This record gives sequence, structure tokens and C-alpha cells, in this order.
Amino acid sequence: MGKICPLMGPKMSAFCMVMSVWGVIFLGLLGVFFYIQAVTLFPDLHFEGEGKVPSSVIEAKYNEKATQCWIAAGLYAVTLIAVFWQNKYNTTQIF
Amino acid sequence: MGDYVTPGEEPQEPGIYRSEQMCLAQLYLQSDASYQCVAELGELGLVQFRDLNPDVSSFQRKYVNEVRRCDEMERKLRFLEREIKKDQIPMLDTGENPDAPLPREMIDLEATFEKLENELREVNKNEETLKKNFSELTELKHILRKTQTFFEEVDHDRWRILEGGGGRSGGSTEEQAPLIDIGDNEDDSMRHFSAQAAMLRLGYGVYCTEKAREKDSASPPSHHFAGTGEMLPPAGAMESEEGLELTQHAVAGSAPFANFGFCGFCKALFYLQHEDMIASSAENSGIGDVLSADEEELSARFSDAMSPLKLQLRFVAGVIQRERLHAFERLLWRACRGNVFLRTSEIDDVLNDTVTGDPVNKCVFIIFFQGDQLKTKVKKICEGFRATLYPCPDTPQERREMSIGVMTRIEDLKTVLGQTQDHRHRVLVAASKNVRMWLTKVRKIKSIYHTLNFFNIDVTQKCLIAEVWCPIAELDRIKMALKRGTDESGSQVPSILNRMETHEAPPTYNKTNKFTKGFQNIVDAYGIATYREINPSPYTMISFPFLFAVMFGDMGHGVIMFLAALFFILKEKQLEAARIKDEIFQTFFGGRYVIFLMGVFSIYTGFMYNDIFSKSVNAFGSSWTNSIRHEYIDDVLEKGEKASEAQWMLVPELAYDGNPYPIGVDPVWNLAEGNKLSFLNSMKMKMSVLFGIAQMTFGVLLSYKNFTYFKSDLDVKYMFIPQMIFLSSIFIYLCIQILAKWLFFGSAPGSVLGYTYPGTNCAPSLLIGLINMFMMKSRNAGFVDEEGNIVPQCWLSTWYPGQSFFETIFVLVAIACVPVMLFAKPYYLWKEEKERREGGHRQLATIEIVLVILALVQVPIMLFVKPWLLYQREKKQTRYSTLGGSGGGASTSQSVRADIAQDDAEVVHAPEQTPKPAGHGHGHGDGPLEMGDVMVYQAIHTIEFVLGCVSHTASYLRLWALSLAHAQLSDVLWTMVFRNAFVLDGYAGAVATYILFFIFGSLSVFILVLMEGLSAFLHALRLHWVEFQSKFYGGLGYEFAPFSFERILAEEREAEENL
Repeated sequence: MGKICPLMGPKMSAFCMVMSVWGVIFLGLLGVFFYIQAVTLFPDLHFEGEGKVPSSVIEAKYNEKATQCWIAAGLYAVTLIAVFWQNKYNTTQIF
Repeated sequence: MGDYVTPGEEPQEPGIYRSEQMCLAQLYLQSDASYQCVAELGELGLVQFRDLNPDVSSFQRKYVNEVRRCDEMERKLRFLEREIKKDQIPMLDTGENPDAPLPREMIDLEATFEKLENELREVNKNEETLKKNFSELTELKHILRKTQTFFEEVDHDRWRILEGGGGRSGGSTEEQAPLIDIGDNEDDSMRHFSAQAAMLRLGYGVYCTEKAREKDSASPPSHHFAGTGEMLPPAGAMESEEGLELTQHAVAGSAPFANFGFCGFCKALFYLQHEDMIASSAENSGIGDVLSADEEELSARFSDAMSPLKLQLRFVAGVIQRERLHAFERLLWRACRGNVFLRTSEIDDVLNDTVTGDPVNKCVFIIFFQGDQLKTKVKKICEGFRATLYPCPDTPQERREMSIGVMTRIEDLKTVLGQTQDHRHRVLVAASKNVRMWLTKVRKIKSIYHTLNFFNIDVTQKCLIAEVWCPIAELDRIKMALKRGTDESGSQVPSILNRMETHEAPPTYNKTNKFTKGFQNIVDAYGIATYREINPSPYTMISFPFLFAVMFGDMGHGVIMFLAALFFILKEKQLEAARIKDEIFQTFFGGRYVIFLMGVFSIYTGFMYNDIFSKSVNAFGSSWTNSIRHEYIDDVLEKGEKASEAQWMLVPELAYDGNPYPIGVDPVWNLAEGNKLSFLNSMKMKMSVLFGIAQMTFGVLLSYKNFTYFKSDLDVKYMFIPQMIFLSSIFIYLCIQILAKWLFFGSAPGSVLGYTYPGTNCAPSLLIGLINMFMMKSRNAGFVDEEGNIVPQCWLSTWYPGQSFFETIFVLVAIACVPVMLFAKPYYLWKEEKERREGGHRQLATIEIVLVILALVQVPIMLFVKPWLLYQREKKQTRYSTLGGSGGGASTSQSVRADIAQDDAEVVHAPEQTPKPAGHGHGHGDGPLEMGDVMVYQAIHTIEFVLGCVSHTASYLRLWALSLAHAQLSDVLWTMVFRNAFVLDGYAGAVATYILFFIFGSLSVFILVLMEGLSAFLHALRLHWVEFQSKFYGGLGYEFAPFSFERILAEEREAEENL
């Protein structure tokens, strides 16, 4: 089978494939946890300025981060397809 | 077990608990049946043959001839295999396992291989000759073609020169015009000469400066042709002289003159622009290719000049490797003083080296020279440069004919060569179907004969006697195999298996499967178990992954490890078949079941630590609630500035709801920035001590099973019991204290164990408590005095009634255990010995007793008196200084030192043990009792145990340390790397998340899972080898190495692949 746009070899693409699957799952779940406003993720939120932050702002922040994670998860899904295609057509032999 | 079990032997225990019971047996095999029987045993792979002729050199053994024949066959097969590989024919390797062929089949095999090898050699030889011929012809063909072009160029150019300067480039026309005039003035024979002059003129035009030319023309020409010489640049004085000389010759006769003139010209030209010449000739390779106009003309005129002189000028043509060309040219120039002219042209096709078959680039060259002397010289140089010379006819006619002849011959050769290759290919394809199977067969035969060489030959030559180690449980199968072997060979007399009694220690044979193998390897890497000793591997299967996971506790990383191992396990067959040679991969693959369990346990401990990528999950609802009023928080936040630094404390009385989190660590601790580590450290440290002491105690308990198994009463009484007492009175007591502290000392004040407990600040400090226990210090009982005031340093108080008394008793008992461990066993051994030798040397015995007692008294004096005196002195000095933490510090450092010292002792004592394999009760009374040895052995053991208990307990703290390191590293990775993704907003944030996750993920895998995993693995390994196994494991056995075809073939195959 001829190589189509060979960007990465079998090992690299396998690694990227694993990373993308993991990325989709991990970021998807992380998004869910942001969405349900998990307290353990509160230190990860970043607020401008000092002092009191109204809870509506905090909730908005949580939602925004959730969306962010899901977008990144989507990006990983796209990556997964790309890498899968790389792997399928450029693999001479994996293992 | 069959009828071979002698009555009174202990019942069969599960195979993995102890190594298999082995017996030494003699095999009496009929000479006819022996081969078949050994073959059957090889298939079975359950007996280890002992070499009965160890002093006979391998060349004098009975079956050395057969072994040699097998070697020869193997060599032939390897040759075949190499040839097959060279032709890239796929080898059929079904992995099938053919039975070992009969001895008579061996002759057939040999004949087959012989025939194949001869045939192949013949074919190869023919092919080589043909190829050599072919390449010679090809070279000749190229030579003919190239020389043809050389000569054609000459003709063409001669025509051009003679017909006029029309074809010349404009730059040179002016200069050449007069020369052509001269040429026209001369007679016909002189025309060549004029061409020659034109040539020189051109050379001049190219290489001389304007000035030099003016100078030349200014000097009075003695001749028409004086210019020829004078045109040579002044720099080449010799050449110019020669040129003048030439002019004289020219008067005598034009032809010789031209001849020499030509040579002189060549010389000058070479001298001046040698490098350019090479370049130009190299560029000339493509016929009329990308030559610059001037150079083309130049070379053309060369040829033109000499073509009429071919009667005088002779030439040789040949082929030389391209790399050698430069040096060749240089040497030719130097050795012949420039009196030869070389033309080269590269062969465009890549030729193949006749011997190695490697592609080589070659050049065709043609050398013109004059005279025999030069000819020999040139030929010598050609020889020296490994250039091949080929005959090249002078006339174009002949060349053409020869060329045609060569072409037809090449065509013929090609056909023949094709047929030869076809034949070879057919032979190899036929062989490739069988070669792997043949190899297996030959290896089997070889190993059988090799084994037969171990046998003792009976005097009657009728039967062979072998001695084998075999597992008793498998005797039936071995007998069956022998019977099969006998039947197959058609022998009438059955083979006999006869069990023998022996005092030799049998080999250790632990049955394993693919799951237990990894753990057995971990144990065996430390030392093969002594025969019938308890095998630690079943316990290792649980405790190893568990201790690993205590250090690696993180659900996320555990899942990664688990999935990787799961992949290995599910794809086991494919991965095995792929035979990946990578060593790192093989390590992981070989330990896939270990890694699998490590992953599973890590998930479990991660769940207990409530840690997943350094985040906690509030699965069951935290028991803590916010007890701080919102108004108050808002108040502080309004103030701004310091708000972020404010510390808030959840007071347990208010915030804690009284019901602990159902399982594992409460997730609230993950958010407790101030005291998260204090809490986790204290918990993990205590937990490591608990686990450690539990494992050590378990090890000591296992030693009891060993002692009873080997019926060593002394060891039970004077080793196991004092060890247990020592361990319990100090370390198990410490564990109970830890548990009690966890259970009874809560946050609320109240009454605990009969004492008033004022609150957490008075919770007892266990470590200092332990030190005080040894110091037998008087401490305040309870945390408050009579008036109800909290006493100063209340955490140092005793915390249950009678604590001081009990602790004193414990310390005294523990100390009392030491001399028991040290002296009791040697004393009783000595007493036993003495009773045996009762009578005879009674006098001597009394003296001995006195001396021994004297010596024994010295030992504790040496051991304890000086430290005690030092301690007394120290105590006097420090009486007035405060106590506090300094005591604790000193003690800790001492224990660390002890740890180091203990490690050394480990290393040193190992060889000490080796000469005493029978010390475990087997061989009592084998020889005279060596009191010194026994004493030293016992002392080392005791010191190791006593110090070991302390240092090993400290050593188990690595569980906490590594767990802390892992948790912190994963926390750092989250906060320093991944958290940055959430600083950005919008799509930039999403992209940042995308990129940072990749970094976070890769670092998680490579640093946290691979590197941390490796370090946790090594520490778990150490805890098992040193801390656990030192309590009961001898590890002095040797491995059972059965004669097994499977094993032999696997080894051979591995060796083959590693070549």
C-alpha cells in the first residue's frame, strides 16, 4: 500500500492514537466535572482581581471551563481520526 | 504419586508452597532402546541427567561421532538457510514439533543434506563463473563503446580542423588563423602537424597569459614551428626546452616530431593544469554531454592530433574502479613523467562486483604511450591498481566486429545465467519448505546423543546406565515415557527405573505457569530456594503488587498501568508470535502479569488515598462541612489585599459531622492547603510501619514452618521463639500503640483509658515514647496533674495505667532474648557433640568447657561493656541539658547508621552462609562440629536480626516516602502544567487545553508511570528481598534443569536470533 502523506511512523502514530483516545475520555470527563462544579477543581479556576467574587461569576467560570474542555476533547477526536488514518495507511507493520 | 512413595513421607502439599520433591534415580536402558527412551524423556522434559563421566573429555565419549555428524548437518542447514535468506524466499515455519527421528533416519537426512549442499555449491560455483564472465564481457562492451567514441571524436575533429576554422569559437579564430596558414603552406604530411600546432595553440590560448604570448612572439623564431615550443609558459622551463628540442626534430622529419611534440604538449598541459584535465575528462564521460565548448574542442583536438599517429602510438584500454581513478591518474603521470596520455570515461551502469555482489562504479580508461618500456610501466601500474586490461583492436572495423561478437556472447550468457538462477531458485524453494523442520530434527538428535554421552556404559556393553533427578510426583509419566520408548525401539527387555538414596541436596524445581512465572523470577533472582524450603513466591504475588501500589497510589496512573498490562495479556499470542527483540519491551512483556496486578493494586490504593491525577473524588459525601459563617468570610474578602493569604480552619468540633468518610481518605483533605501534608504524612508513615512490621512478623512465622519441616527443634526453641518475643515486645507493641492512638485519641477532650484527655495537643507522641521506653525514663502519668492543669509536654506522658511497668518488662524481655538467640543454639549443638564424644577425652573436655565459657563470657563483655560505660559518661554530661527533640534526633541518626551497617552485613554474610547448606537440620552430625563456625554464624544471624528489626522498620518508611514523592510529583504536574490551560479564556483556552493536555499526558506516562513506577518497583523488590526474605529464606539451592527439547530448541532459536 502506498504511503499517503506520511507524517509519522507506526510507533509515533500509535502513541498519538493512544494519547488522543485518552484525551477524548479525560477531557470529556473533566468537562463534566467542571459542568457539575466539582469543588476539587475550584483551585484550577482563575479569577481576575482580588476580593470577593460573586457566585454567579464562579458558576459562569465553571461552565466556560467545561465548554473549553469539551472543545479540546473534540479537537482530540479530530486528531484521533487523523492519526488513525495515518496509522492505517502508513503502517508497514505494527508489532 | 504411585507406588514409588516410600511410606512415612509427608503428604503432598500444594505445588507452589514448596519446591517439588525430587529423587535420584538410575535408569537402565538397553543399548538399542536408549536412543528412543531419551527422545521420549526429552519430549517430556521432566528429568535432569547427571554427567556420569565428568572426567572423560568430550572427545573420548562414546557418541562423539554422532554429535559431530549432527554438527556437520547443522552447518549444512545453516548454509542452506543463509542461501535461502539471500534469495529472499520465505521460509515455511509452522512451528510444528516433529518427533526426534530414528537413528537410521539420520543417514537419510545426512544424504539429503549432502546432496543439497553439493548441488547448491555446484550451482553457486557455476553462477559465479558465469557472472564473472558476464561482468568481464560487460566491461569489454563498455570499453569498446567508449573507445569507439574516443576515436570517433578524433575523426570528426580532424575533419573539422582540416576543413577550416568555421567550427571554432570566435575567441580563438584570430589566433589560429596564422597557424592554419602555416599548415596550408606545408605539404600534405605536414597537415597533421599543423593540426598539432593548432592544438598547442589552443592550449596556449587557454592556459597562457597575454603577456607571455607577447614575450614569445617578441623572441626571434628560429623556425616556423618555434612558436610551438615557445608557446609553453615560462614557468615550465623544462617543458619549454623540450619544446625547443622538438623543433629540431621537426626539421628532420615531421612525423616523429609531431609525435614527440604531442607528448611534450601533454606533459606541459598536465603539469600546468593537471587538475583541470581530470575534471574535464571526468566531465567528458557522457558522450558530448555538458562539456563547455572550449574543453570539448580541446579534447577533440587531442584525439585529432594523435589519430594519424596510431602506428607509432600504442594504447591499452581497461576498466578501473572509480574511487581509484584519481590516484591512478596521478601515479601514471608521475611514474611515466607525463609521457602517457590518459582518457577516461565513466561507465553509466552500475556493475556488480563478481565476488561480493556489491554494486561498484567503474571507469573505462585508455592510455596512449610510446615504446615498450612505457608499456611495461603502464601495465605494472594498471596491475597495481587492480585495473583490468582488455584487448582492444586498433581499427574501427575490428572493433565493430568484436563489439558484435561480445554482444552475442553476452546474450548467450544471459540465457545460461537465467537458467542457472532458475535452477538454484527451484532448489532453494524446495528446501525452504523443510529447512526449519530439518533443523529441529537435527537439534533433537544432537541433544539426544549429547545426553547419551553422560551415560555410563555397562561392562557387558548391553545396557546404558544413567542417573537422573526427577520429581517424585511425575515418576509415573516418566515410566510411561520409558515404556513408550522401549516399545517403539522394538526392544524386548524393558527399561528399568530404580530410585536411589542419596545425601546430596536435590535440585529445586518449582512448577510455574505463565502467571506465577513472573513472581517466581523475582524470588529466584535473589537466590534459588534451598530444596524443600518454603517458596516465598505465593506470598510475593500479593505483597509485591501491594507494597508497590502503596508507593504508587494513584487511580489514574494505576489505570494506565492496568490497561497497558491488559493489552499485553489480551494480545499475548500475537505479541509472542511477533518475536520482538527489543529488550525493554521484552522486560515489560515478560512481567505483564506482575504489571497487571501492580496496576490493579494501584487503582485500589489510589482509591484509598482518594487520589486520581492528584485530584480527589467526593464519591460518598465528605464528612466535613463549612463551619465558618458566610458573613465573616465576606467581611474578610471585602478587605481585599490579604484575603488570599488568610488561613481558614475548619474546627473538627463544628465542621466534622462525626461519621467518618466510608472508605479511604476524606476528599476534603485534598483542599486543605495548610495541613494536607501533615495529615497524609502522619497517616502514611504509621501505615508503612504497620505494613512493614506485619510483613516482617509474617516472615518470622514462615521461618517456623521451615524449622518444623526440617525438624530442627533447636531452631524453633532458640531462634524462632526468642525472635518472636523480641519482635512482639518492641515492634508489635509499637503497632498496637499506633492503632490505639488512632482509635482513642480523637479531637474531643474526654477521658481516655482512665486518664483525662484534654485535647489533640496532648495526643501521645509515639516515636519519642518509644525512645523513652528504652531509656526507661520516669514520665508523668496522665496528661493533667491533680489540680486538673495540663502538665508541660503532656504528649510525652504515659497514657495508660501501668505503662512504665509494662514497657520496662518489654525492654528487659527483649534484651534477655538476645543472649538466648546468640548462645543457646551453639551451646546445645556443642553439648550434643560432647555427649557423642563422651568418654575418651574427658580431661580435655573440662578444659574445653572452661575455655569456651571463658570465651563466651568475653563476648558480652566486648559487646556491651564499652557502650555501657560510654553511655554512663554521656548520661552524666547531658544530665543538665534539656531533653526534648535532641534525644529523638540522636536516636534517628543512630538507626540510620544501623541501617547502613546492616546493609553491609547483608553483603558480607552471604558467602559466610554458603559453606553451611546443611545447617538447617539436615546434616547434623555429618562431620565434627566446628564450634567457631557455628558461633560466627549464630552471632551474625543474631546481630542481623536484632539490628535488622530496627533498621528494617525504618526501611519500611520508604513506603511513605515514595508515596509522598509520587503524590507531590503528580500534584506539581497538575498545578504547574495543566492548570495553566485554564488561565486562558475562550477558544485560546480550548487550544491551550488541547496542547497542555498532550504535554501533561506525555509527562504523566513517561515520568509518573514509567520512571516513578520503576523506582517503586525497585523499592518493592528491595523490601521483599531484604526485609521480608531475610527472615526465613535461605536461597541456597540450585535450579532443576531438565533435559527438554522444548527448552533446548527455544535456547537455540534465541541464540540464532541474537546472532
